[in-house]
Amino acid sequence: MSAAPGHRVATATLQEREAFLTRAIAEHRTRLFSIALSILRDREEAEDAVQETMLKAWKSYHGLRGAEHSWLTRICINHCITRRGRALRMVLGAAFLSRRSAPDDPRLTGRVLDLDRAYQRLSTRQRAAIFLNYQFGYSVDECADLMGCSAGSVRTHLARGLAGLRKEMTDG
Amino acid sequence: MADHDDRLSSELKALFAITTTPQPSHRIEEMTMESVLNRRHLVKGGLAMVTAAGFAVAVTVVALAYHAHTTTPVPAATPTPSAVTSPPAATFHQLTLGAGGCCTLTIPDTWLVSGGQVINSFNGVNSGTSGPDGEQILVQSFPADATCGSANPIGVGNAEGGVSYPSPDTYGARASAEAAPAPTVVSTKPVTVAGHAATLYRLAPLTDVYQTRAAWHDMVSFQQGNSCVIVTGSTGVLSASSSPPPGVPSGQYPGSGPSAVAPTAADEAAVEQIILSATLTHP
Repeated sequence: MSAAPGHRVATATLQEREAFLTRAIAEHRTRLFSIALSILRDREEAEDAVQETMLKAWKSYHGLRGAEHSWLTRICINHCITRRGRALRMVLGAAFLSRRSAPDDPRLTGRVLDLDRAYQRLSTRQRAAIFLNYQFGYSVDECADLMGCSAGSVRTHLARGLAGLRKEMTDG
Repeated sequence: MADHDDRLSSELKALFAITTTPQPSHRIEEMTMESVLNRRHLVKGGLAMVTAAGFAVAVTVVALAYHAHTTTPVPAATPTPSAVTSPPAATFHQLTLGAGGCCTLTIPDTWLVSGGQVINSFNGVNSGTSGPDGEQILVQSFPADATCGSANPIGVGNAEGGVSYPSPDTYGARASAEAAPAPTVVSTKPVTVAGHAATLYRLAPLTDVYQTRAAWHDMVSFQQGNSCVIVTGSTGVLSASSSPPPGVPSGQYPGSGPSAVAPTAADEAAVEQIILSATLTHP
């Protein structure tokens, strides 16, 4: 869904922002959760990412240009690869939150499970590049746009990530 | 990427086919605008607490260093066990006020506090004054000759100034004109709010009503936390120190102004609805 033509996002009222946020949550939360989970491979971090995405969208609603779908996706991916959640949790520690490492998804078996474990050992940026490229078929330039980095960086992340996966799968 | 390894490629697609259809997440399914916006306060509050704690440690270190520098060492006294404060019981606390009284209490997990001309609250996460398990509630009542309003601001704000304050013009004018004897509880009514037992109080006499600002963050603060303050008066005044429920314009919810008639059952039901609307989301 994109912002309606002529919609005056830049001068949106509080009510309009509320309506936007409510609609964005209803329409995009599941999709963004899938994306975040695929990149982060941690359910709680992925949940945090979706919430942060919505919060950032709320805060920067005045900057919305173009398709809402892509805009939210870009925010979510950027959050996933630049998140501070883990560091923040370390600081806040057990006083607020107690977390466990996520168990393996029970639906994963055999080589796919091995691959998932190898995939989780990659850096977040490598995971994001591979995910966007393989799952959605985004080009390197499109990946770069979504990840907020250069095409050269995406190529590097892809190459190193795939090399890491191949090595793990071969050695394993 | 034309050189995708075929097997790796197919296995990655198999992996992503599973990970992009995750098992349902309650948190995602139950995500609402309020829960998203509450997070802002939670994170800010957490960071503020961390910052405050760091500052306190730094001050302590400096103070100890100064103390060590300026005093002669003395033999250490026999250590005595420090007082152990038991955690607050997870029960509802009732507070009795005297005229002009002002006191604070800490309740563990929210809820309802009543009994005063003006009741205000702030939650521990935002203010950093109590732990995540605690909730500090400030309750104030005012003597008859109290000068209220800007000269004697009522209530306590959080770090963002986001907690309700009565409007100086409305509260101050009325407070200076009317005697304000301490209200007493004439009846109570048990209610259940989000699974928590709470009590709705009816107070008498209730000589004042104050209108809180209906700022967005007031509502957010309220929903984030925790405290809900409801005053019902036998004089027919219903007052809720919350912002109105979402979608209800300020000043158009029950209890937003003085009334000469006794509250109806519908009024009380509406007040309960305010409680429900205002306090459901606890971090």
